[in-house]
Amino acid sequence: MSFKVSAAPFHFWTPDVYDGAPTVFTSFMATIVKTGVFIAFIRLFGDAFGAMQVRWELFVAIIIAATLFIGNITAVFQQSVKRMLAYSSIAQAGFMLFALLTLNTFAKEGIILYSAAYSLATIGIFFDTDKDERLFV
Amino acid sequence: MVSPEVEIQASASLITKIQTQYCMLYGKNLILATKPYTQEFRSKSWAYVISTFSLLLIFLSVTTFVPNIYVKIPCGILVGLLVVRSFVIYHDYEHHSILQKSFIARVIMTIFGIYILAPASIWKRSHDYHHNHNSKLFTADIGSFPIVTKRKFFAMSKSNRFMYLAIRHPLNILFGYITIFALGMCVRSFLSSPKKHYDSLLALIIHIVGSVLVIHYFGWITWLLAVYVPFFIACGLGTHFFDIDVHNMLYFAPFGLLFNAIAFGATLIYFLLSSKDILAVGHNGAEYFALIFFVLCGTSIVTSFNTLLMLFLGIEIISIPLYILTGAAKRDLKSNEASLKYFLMGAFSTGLMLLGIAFLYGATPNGSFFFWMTWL
Repeated sequence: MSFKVSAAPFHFWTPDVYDGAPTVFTSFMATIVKTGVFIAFIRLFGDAFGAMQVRWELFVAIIIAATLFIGNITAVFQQSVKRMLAYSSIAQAGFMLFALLTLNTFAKEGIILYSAAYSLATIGIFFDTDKDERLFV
Repeated sequence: MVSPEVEIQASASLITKIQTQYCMLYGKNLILATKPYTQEFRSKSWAYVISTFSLLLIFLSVTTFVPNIYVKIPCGILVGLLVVRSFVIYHDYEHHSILQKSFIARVIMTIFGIYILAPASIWKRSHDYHHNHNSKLFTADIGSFPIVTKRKFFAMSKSNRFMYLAIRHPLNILFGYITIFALGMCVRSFLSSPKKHYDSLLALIIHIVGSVLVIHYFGWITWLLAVYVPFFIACGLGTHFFDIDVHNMLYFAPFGLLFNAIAFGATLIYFLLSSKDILAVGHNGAEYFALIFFVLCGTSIVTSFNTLLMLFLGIEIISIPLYILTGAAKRDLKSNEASLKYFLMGAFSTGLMLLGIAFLYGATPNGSFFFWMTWL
């Protein structure tokens, strides 16, 4: 599951794939698919494993910290816009994982709102990237 | 050897135990307990009736008389939705739950019944039957669209099967205004007993004359928008297109459905913004769109899964089209590399996930994997 949302130890494919794939499909992957899998993540951990939250809490916390750290720090060194956006999406995954850590109705509302806002913003920015690709890459 | 009396006593004590534990009520107690909910707030009922029907009239007249087509289209759609809402009120009225013994309400409801081609006499025959015989249905269906179980379907004769499939065909439901409501409900019931269902004939005549008049005075477009579209929407909305038994494999909670709405909306925006770029990627534009719809399908499974099996299936439906989309630019070496990389790592992670799922199946005590039941 972490692989699909590109959380920290499993994030290495993200920049390469995002960079390689045609930009339009990158934007689809980064928005709708990613948030969809997040919803599945929350439903799986919230509904099925919610009772034993104490056991996986630490694990998720480590993943979040690593994801945020790696995502934001590595993005600084990137040369291509798409790679940078890929790392940004890794960092976003870290933020969204916070909802998994807290796991209450408030967090669920939050992740719905966040996924809507994030999808819209990212579709917009990838659309722009596609237009100006020659300038940046 | 346990004597039968002891067994009966044991089961009786079990029932009382269940009753006390879950506060279950039977017979008279149950009816008495529902008493507080049967009261009607007449002012509220009137408010809903008046607001809904006046809105319906306003939008209907706007659709008919305003010449601008851009005003007509949304108004026609709104009329359709309002017809559905009015039908809900009509349903409650015909079940004697609101506005009883009111002459004005009876007049309004009779007119509305004729307007929607479901006059009161038909109601008395079919729908009342359904509510009076709740526990002893001879078919599983309610209203005009039959539903049968699989076993029954296989037991049917060939012509019956054909009729069943024809009635449940999406096309038939789409054109429900003509096929179901006009032909099925009014003509058929009038032919079966003309005396009892004289109001069906009245409704039919009014509809045909009204349509002809509207076409004559206002033209085709107005007829389409003021008469056909509302019924098109109303008749389509009132029925479920696909009645699928998911066997608890999927669970549709508001949380997942809300996200589905967001995902579909985001995809729409995505298409509007970048459909030209999608077409510019390669020569197979249609396939890219199809693959994106597959992904969307997987997303909606993933948001409402109820078993780990469904979760796995959803994730695979998401992933496989994505591998293809990643490699969509065939001539581009970078794209090919990305696709292969994604595919290999994806396969690896899928294997790991399946291993975890297998462990979970092994660990659950009764071997069941409906986690709404086992873990909650």
